[in-house]
Amino acid sequence: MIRSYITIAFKYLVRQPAYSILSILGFSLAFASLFYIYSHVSYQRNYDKHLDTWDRVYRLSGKINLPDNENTHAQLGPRLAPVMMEEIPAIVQMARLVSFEEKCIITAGEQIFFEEQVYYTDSTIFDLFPLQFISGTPKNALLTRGQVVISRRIAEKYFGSTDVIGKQLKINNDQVLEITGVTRDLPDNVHHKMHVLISMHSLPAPRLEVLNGNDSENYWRPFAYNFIMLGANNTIDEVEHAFPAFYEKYMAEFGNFLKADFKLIFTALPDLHFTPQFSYDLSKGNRSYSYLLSAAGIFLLLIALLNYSNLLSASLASRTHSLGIFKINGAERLHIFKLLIAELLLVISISAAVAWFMLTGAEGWFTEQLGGGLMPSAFHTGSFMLMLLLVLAAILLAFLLPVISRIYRQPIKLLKNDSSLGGERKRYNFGKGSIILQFTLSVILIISSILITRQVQYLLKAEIGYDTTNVVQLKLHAEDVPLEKIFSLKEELKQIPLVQEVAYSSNVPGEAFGTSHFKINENGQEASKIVSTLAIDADYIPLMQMELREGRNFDRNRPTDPQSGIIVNEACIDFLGLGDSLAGKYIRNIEILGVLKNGKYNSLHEESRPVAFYFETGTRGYLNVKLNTTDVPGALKFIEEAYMQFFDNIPFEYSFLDQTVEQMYRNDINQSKLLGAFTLLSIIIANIGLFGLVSLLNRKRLREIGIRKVNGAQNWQIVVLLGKQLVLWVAFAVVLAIPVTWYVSGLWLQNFATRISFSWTFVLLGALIILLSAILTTAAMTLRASTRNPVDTLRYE
Amino acid sequence: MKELIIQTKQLTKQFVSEEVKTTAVRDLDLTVEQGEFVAVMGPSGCGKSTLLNLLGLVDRPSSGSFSFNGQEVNSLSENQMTRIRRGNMGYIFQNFNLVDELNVSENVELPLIFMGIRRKERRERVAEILHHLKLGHRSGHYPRQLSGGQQQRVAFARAIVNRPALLLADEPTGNLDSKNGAVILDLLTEHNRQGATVVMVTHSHKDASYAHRIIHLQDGSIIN
Repeated sequence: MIRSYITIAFKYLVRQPAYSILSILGFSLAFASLFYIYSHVSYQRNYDKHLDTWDRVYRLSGKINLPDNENTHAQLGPRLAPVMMEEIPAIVQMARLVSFEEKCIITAGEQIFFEEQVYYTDSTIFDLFPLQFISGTPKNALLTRGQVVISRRIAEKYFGSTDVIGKQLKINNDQVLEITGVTRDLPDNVHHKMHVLISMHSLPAPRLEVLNGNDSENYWRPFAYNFIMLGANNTIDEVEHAFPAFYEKYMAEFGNFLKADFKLIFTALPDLHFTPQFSYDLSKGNRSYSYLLSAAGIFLLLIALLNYSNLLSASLASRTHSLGIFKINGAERLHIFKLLIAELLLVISISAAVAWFMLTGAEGWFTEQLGGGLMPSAFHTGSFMLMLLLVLAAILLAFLLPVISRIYRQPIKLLKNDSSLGGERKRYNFGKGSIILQFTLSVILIISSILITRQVQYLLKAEIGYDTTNVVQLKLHAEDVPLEKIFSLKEELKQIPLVQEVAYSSNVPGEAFGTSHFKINENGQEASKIVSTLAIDADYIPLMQMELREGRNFDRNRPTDPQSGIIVNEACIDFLGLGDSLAGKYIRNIEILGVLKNGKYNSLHEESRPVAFYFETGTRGYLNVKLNTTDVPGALKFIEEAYMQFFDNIPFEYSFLDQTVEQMYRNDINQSKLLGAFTLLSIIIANIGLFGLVSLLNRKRLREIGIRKVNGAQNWQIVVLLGKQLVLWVAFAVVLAIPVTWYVSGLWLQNFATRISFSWTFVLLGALIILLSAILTTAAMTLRASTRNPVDTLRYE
Repeated sequence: MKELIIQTKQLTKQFVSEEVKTTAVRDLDLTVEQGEFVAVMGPSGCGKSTLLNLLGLVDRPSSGSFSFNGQEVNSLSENQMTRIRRGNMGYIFQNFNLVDELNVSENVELPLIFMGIRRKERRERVAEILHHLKLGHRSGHYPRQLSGGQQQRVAFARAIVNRPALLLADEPTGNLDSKNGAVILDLLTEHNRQGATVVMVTHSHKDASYAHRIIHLQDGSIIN
């Protein structure tokens, strides 16, 4: 019996290709979006939840309010967690992670690697983060100096095997460590990766001295990530309650010296990746993405359901007669219901399969463009099953709406295709309402998408006061290399014909710069203001094509001699309140040599950062290499060859300045792409629904069209008659969309200190796009209805 | 006297729209014995097809009573009416009313599917009937691939596949030429001889001559 129902259902689907394809397409897109979104949201929501201890471990951060400055530090003093554990019973264990200031150079045999997130840590780390050991044991792995534990991924990357206990690694061409443990890889959604963990006793001597220092400052200084673990029956409130006394006992002394307030922040592990960006922390994710995506997923599913309901209505309208035949030949309501359910199950099964193919086929794109792929483990959870059940229930509801009224009709009415029941008018109005709603949402998405794209383009092309094109940023890692070697490398690079200029800088735009306190007189009182600082050589400003508003650059004729004085940007002048004509002026004993025009070194989300440039040619930082060629690969080859002459024991690492600047807007670019993708999906799905509704409407108006034609109406007049309502719907949708878009885009643009204005051309473009898509969708149907022989249509009726 | 298969008393059907009330069948008293072949004739709009729909339990009367095989069917639910129709009645229409999406075999086996007959038995019964009606070679064809006469024979096969006690035919030859029409009438006659009761609506006196009895309707009532 089931086979018969499925056979009949399959034949109906084949016989109505438009309905079938559009239903399957609508559901496939909705399912694919939902699956991806669920996977992505699951990935985000399960950050740092992989180990059993996740709900008891907290990281400590400190909000420090100085008289002229407020900052939250993710890293605090090395004494904080250990002493808190001694003093506060609710804390049963602690561990610290001490990071390298930049990427670590690791030598394994003959191979050299750069690794990020390499940490020195306590042997207790495995109590808080119980990583599974493939070899070695957590108890002994990090007890003494010279020990390192690596992950499986690292072991296979370095040695091609996990049988590496006893093998050696060299850190920064200096320290030799023995591998004492290999752990299973943690998934990617962890904030602190822990691929390479070095025993705390291995810290270089100066840092080891700081680690063991007992003064009050050693609770404050940004030295380590401090983690605590609560007892099984303890709560974080107990620790919060006990902290004020702890502060008074151990931290108040230095706090009073700084005249600072301190607030300890406890961040649960799952929140680590999503709290606002603190100083000295790793880059964070954006939880609002999850909310946006979840809302988008639900929205797409609702549209798909509304559309399916409309399409099914249209399809049932065309086979009411068949349903009548079934009933006359003995089909009860249940039989009809089973037939239609079989059809629904076929549609859902095919849609799910197509969705899966779409997802797996596009996974690479998702990962590259949106920063995350599928997480298969997300689909084996109870919550996914629950979501599936809810989705199926919603689909069933969308199915029942058009079906119930039809299967309850008397056979003779079905046979005559009698649509005189009031329910038809309600269904039509519902269909019309849902189409207008979808159009409205689509117009909102289109306009928002245009706005965001324009804003991102504006950011990327904004005048920032320096030229980012064709600048290669060569990373310098060596700490103890003689300065002459850097100069020699610089000169060697300048000899390359494809290179125009070379200059040193301590940092690049988008990075955290150093800071310096400037004491000034403000309203007759002494005040201290913190300004960002960047160390540069005399070639930097010409290389970056920065323009001096007044004053001069550092002396290019003295490239290696120390030079005093600073150059500032306009934002710095405003920040320090120094007025005009500053060249030659002094802030305390520091001469201001020059003032740079504009100069934005931070994201345009924020106001321009005040920056002071001072002269230095250090060994840590970057050599900026301006190319005079479009043959970038060729130039890079020469640059690498020159570099390897001087630093064959340090991997060659480079980036491009324009990409570095673009990276500041990576989130905005991703948002723009994501929104663009959802906009396209919503247009497609809205038009699927439109197709269904218009086919239903045209069918109902066949008789009217036939009569009009018999009475002399021409084809174009019929097209206008049928197309008129489409234009009205779009116009109505645009009118509804405008105030919403205006408000939402206004809110979003406030995220940017530098921004575009909302323009009516966006609205016009949005309206045109949705109208064009609707016309394209319905053109064939409208043309067919208008050119049909009136004899056929009147006979049909 | 044979048992009555159909008995109606004061059977009435009215169609009501927003402004108009039309009485299609008015206070009709009718009896049909088992095994009879009855033709119903009358001008257009006299209520013949409406009467047939009422007798076939595909429409409900506005008032009056209708007994089928001694069972009062007025107050039955739609599903109950369907069950009675399914096991006991076959319907043939002027415009065949085959399902375009299904082939000949699938059209004919429809009543058997809804009766819950197993696949093997369904196939056997369908094959037997199609063979008898000389349509065996067309079993995999679709209605659009058949002539009018062939389509009506398929419709006939579908109507009798569940061996109904009552066959209802609404202008069965209306869309056929005389030769094909005669074939259908012969089939109806043959089926009647085998014991089935036949009620046929027709405009044609020639077609009506196949029946044992002719009932004339006018304005929803029997005039003879």
